[in-house]
Amino acid sequence: MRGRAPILASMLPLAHLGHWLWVFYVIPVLIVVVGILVSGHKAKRREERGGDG
Amino acid sequence: MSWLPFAHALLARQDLPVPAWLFAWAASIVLIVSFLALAAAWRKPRFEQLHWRPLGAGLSRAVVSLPAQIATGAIGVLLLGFAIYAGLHGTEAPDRNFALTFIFVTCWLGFPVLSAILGDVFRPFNPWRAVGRAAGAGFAAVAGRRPAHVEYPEKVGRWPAAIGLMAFVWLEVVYGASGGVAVGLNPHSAAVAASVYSVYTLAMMALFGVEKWCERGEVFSVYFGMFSQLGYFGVQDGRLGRRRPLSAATRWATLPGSAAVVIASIATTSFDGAQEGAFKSAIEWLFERLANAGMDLTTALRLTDTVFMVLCFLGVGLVYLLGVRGMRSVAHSPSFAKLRVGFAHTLIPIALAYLVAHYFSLFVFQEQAQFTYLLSDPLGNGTTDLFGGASATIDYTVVSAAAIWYVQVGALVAGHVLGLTLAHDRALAYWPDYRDASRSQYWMLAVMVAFTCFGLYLLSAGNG
Repeated sequence: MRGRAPILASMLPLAHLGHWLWVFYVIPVLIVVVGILVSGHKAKRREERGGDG
Repeated sequence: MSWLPFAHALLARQDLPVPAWLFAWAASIVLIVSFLALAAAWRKPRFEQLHWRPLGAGLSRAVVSLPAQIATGAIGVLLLGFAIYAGLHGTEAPDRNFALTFIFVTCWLGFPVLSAILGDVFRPFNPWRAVGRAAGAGFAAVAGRRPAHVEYPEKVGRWPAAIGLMAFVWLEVVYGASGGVAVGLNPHSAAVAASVYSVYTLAMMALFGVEKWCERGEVFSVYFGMFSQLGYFGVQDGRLGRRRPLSAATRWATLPGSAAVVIASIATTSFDGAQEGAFKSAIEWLFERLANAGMDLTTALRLTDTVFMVLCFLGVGLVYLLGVRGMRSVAHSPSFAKLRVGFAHTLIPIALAYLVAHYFSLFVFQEQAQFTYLLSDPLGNGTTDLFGGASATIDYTVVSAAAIWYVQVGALVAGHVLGLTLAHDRALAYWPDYRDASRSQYWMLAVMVAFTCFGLYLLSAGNG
């Protein structure tokens, strides 16, 4: 058992989890940017349909 | 910690109820809700006019009169002179010398906050302006005419101030303490820098005129003046008056280089927050490469930090320009150049928010030193105790780590909501249809959310 802890620590990437915390801060920005892109795309399609009709 | 007055990394947070990144999510939701509320309820521009109302003539005379200006100018000159003297002749221990805390904490952090609330409070105390005006008056008395000046190149605008702002912060956080290791800045260096800057500023004032240079090139006038545009009081035609808060900001960015000043402010604060947290690994990586290439360690450290500071400036500028570029996608949009200039002032509350969030704890702690032992024993050599506070110490428990965090989050959210409000208001002035105006601000919302999350990430990484 004594030898297992270091082996587990080296196998699991959890020790480096702190390095990836920035991802949580990027998510809100991505959500807003995707929302803007989708909204812009829909508005464009609406305009095109309006133009055809 | 007690002997490092410029260790900006704050105390570790231990008692937050939720992970720090959840605050970024909550702040983003606040911004989105604010954006929707503005789009629904704010349909006419309200900040394009100052709504300036003069204060009572007696009060105005007392504040703006020549004797008052001479008195405040003299105080400014005396304090600058004393800071330089303390730097040159006082102790070399940064935390015991009056000069460093006075310049880099009390003035550098105190004036922006005061200015944002009250208006341009630095202007009457500006020591270089006072000396320049006195010299001009002396010249006029002797020569019988006002001094002639060279015409200022208008295209240069506020770029000298933007570069000077970067240089000032560089002096403190790169030259003085790269990566948390003190390598250069001591009170003597600060005093020499202040003397060199004084000579340079007075020369520029002689060349272009005092008011011209204060408006465009004098770093502290431009920097503190930028924040004063948010404030409640202002002087117009020699008369003190009230105005609608934030409204003066809408006219501030018309000079070239103004956007660079506010971007430099955000970038330098970001860099200072990131160098020992978010950017630490990247800075170490580049530093090792330069050191392994045979560069002197101090030079490698300073060069690395300089590169990252410049990258911060470019990054913040790029995010802002992307937001402006996004506005162009909306029908009836003004030109890119007009939008780029027209929305620069919306970053001023963000610059203030970054400043408050990043330096709040430093200010609270160092001002205890400023008004106790640094005032009683300004040279720091133990020979004086002017006000009986020479043996005082800083109480680091005066504000808890959690309280600091909440102030930081509150400042960032409030600053970005104000930025959104200014941007929405300006859009209403640029787009004839309020629906187009609201649509144009989608990308500015993204910019504000990005700056908020980035700011909170810097704080959490720096604090952790």
